[in-house]
Amino acid sequence: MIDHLTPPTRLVRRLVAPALASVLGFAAVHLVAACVDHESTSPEFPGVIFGAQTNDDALRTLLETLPVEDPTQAAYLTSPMTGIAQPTTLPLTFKWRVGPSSSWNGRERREGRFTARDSLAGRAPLVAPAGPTLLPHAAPHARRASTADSRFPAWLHDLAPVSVAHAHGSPINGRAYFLVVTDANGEPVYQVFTLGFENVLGESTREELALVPQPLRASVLNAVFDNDAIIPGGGPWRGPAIDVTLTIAP
Amino acid sequence: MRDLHRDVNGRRALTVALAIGALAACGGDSTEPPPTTTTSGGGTTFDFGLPPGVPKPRVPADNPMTPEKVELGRHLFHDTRLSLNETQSCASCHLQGKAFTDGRATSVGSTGDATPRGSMSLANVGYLTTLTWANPVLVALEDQALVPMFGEDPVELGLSGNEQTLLDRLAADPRYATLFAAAYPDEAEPFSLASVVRAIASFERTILSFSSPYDRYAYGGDPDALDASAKRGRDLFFSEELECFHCHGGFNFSDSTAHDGTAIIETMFHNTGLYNVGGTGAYPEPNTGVFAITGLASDMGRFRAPTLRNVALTAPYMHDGSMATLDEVLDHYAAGGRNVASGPNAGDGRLNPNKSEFLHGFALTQTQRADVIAFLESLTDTDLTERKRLSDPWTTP
Ligand code: HEC
Ligand code: HEC
Repeated sequence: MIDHLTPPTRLVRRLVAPALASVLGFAAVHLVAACVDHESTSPEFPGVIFGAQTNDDALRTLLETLPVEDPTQAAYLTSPMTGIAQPTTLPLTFKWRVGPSSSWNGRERREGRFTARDSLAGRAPLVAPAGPTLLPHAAPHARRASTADSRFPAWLHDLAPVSVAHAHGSPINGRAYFLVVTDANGEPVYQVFTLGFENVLGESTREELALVPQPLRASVLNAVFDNDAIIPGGGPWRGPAIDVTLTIAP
Repeated sequence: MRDLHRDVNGRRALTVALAIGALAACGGDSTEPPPTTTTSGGGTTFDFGLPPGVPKPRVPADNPMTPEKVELGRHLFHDTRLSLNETQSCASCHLQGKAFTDGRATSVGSTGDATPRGSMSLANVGYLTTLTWANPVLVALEDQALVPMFGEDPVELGLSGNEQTLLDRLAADPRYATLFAAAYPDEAEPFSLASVVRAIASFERTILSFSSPYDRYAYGGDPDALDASAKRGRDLFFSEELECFHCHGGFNFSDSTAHDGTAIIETMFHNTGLYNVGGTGAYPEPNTGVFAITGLASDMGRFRAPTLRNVALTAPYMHDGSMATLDEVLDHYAAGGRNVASGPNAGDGRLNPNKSEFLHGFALTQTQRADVIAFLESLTDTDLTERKRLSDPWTTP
């Protein structure tokens, strides 16, 4: 499956589709693949999972634009509860929404989550630069990486079925979210760029993330895009961070 | 690879200014020329009430937005005295409940003339780079308003040659005396044609639609605003398989969209293979698209991609209202064009030589089709259709 992660195939598809069409004859129809919601990767951002309808141009824009402080536009993680410690055998889903929500832990908010300590600015870069290795903490422990191209972390195996890369896919219109999970040292260990509101971590990812220095710290950066450009007044806005500790079940 | 986003069918705006017939009819000596500048800046302090992350419409420097002008424009837009026989207003063909369309395939003017094309939604009209179905040179709302007022072919409001009658009528109403004075406090003679069109255009720039369930989901960040079917439909709409987003992309679901601060204004027109009369590539007269203005063969059948916001309320569809339902529209795109089997317009639109490369056809399962429609329906904004500030002030204060 990992070979399908070879980067962007949009051009290829544009060539293949008409060829296929001519095989099928006039007004040939190409079936809409069921893969529109698949996730993919980009060589420029090797540690990042790209959700459906996202692309690396937009992520680059997001990361190059200075965030704006606005708690009403920030994305708040509503799951998991901050401070939670749980074994890797339990499911772990990150969920978020824009604006303070009732499910957000009010106590944490009162304690001032938008502090310099929580601000990711000045910490380790959110995205590891493109290179042969990524996730320095996680990669050595990657359990299934042996069968795969070593440039891709093991947790990508959880994203079945990964097929066509969308890293250069359709332009982003609307709000996009960049979930960043770092280890206790601020090193990014898990990153997802998506138009959705949640991300489910598979078991092998959880096991891998349990091996990095705990607690994990997660936050979401978001912005409003129009054809991959951030709309004037459209952020980016940085959400407050939550802490999660993953433990390896005895 | 980004340039693949550009339709090879798309055209940049024509820089040559072509005469707009109707404009000639309204250049009476007594009136100053209508404002035409479209440079930005006039809207910087006006509160459009936009949600965060939505850019402002462009506002001409010589027609800055003020609440007073907008309120005057609202009165004029809904006033049947704007037609010579006092039977029609702008709102007669642009009904708020139908997202400012009229539900007809083509419209009927105040004297019974049929318009060649259907009425268009005015939702977010302030963001459009060109106005009406296929006119690359009609770019200012101030200019466009003159067309229905003074156009003679077809007659819509029928005011040609009767500018003074209109101004006298308005000046005789004490309510307008107050409204015009408030809107144009610095003008010695506020009752002028220029004042009328500026106010109408200002009102039109407030016809904003950003409160649909889709907006709450995709822009507002509310994960619960869309159901699963509409979410899947969104993914299909923005997929390379369906290609819809190439022409109906961006926050306004039209590639002829710009906002305050947009650097490069693009105007795009596309031939979607609706017709191919006699196999010649022709569209039925007089609806030949941009060709009617440029006379260029390659412009035959090119129309502006309309916004799809509120599209569930704006049937029938296409420039001539020739499709009754969204299902029919999807059939057309899925087939990569429309084959008109018989009648005077017979011809296979799928083979139209000017057809956009994005109209290559696709197949949807029943569920996928329902998903795309659910997505299109999620663009319906009931705040737009019910907003008091846009409603008829003569019946509802
Ligand atoms: C008789 C019906 C009728 C009346 C009355 C009418 N319109 Fe229209 N309107 C139309 C039709 C039909 C179109 C499409 C024109 C075309 O492309 O040929 C249109 C298009 C428009 C557009 C372009 C929208 C877009 O998406 O580009 C604007 C703006 C507009 N009308 C504003 C007005 C205003 C302002 C008035 C009153 C001064 C008015 N209309 C009166 C029928 C009408
Ligand atoms: C090549 C550009 C292009 C693509 C791709 C495209 N459209 Fe369109 N669309 C247009 C144009 C242009 C019109 C107006 C055509 C006319 O009236 O001649 C239109 C009209 C429509 C209308 C009717 C709107 C109205 O107010 O009458 C709907 C609905 C629509 N398109 C939906 C879609 C969907 C769904 C897709 C994807 C399956 C799609 N379009 C793909 C350009 C495009």
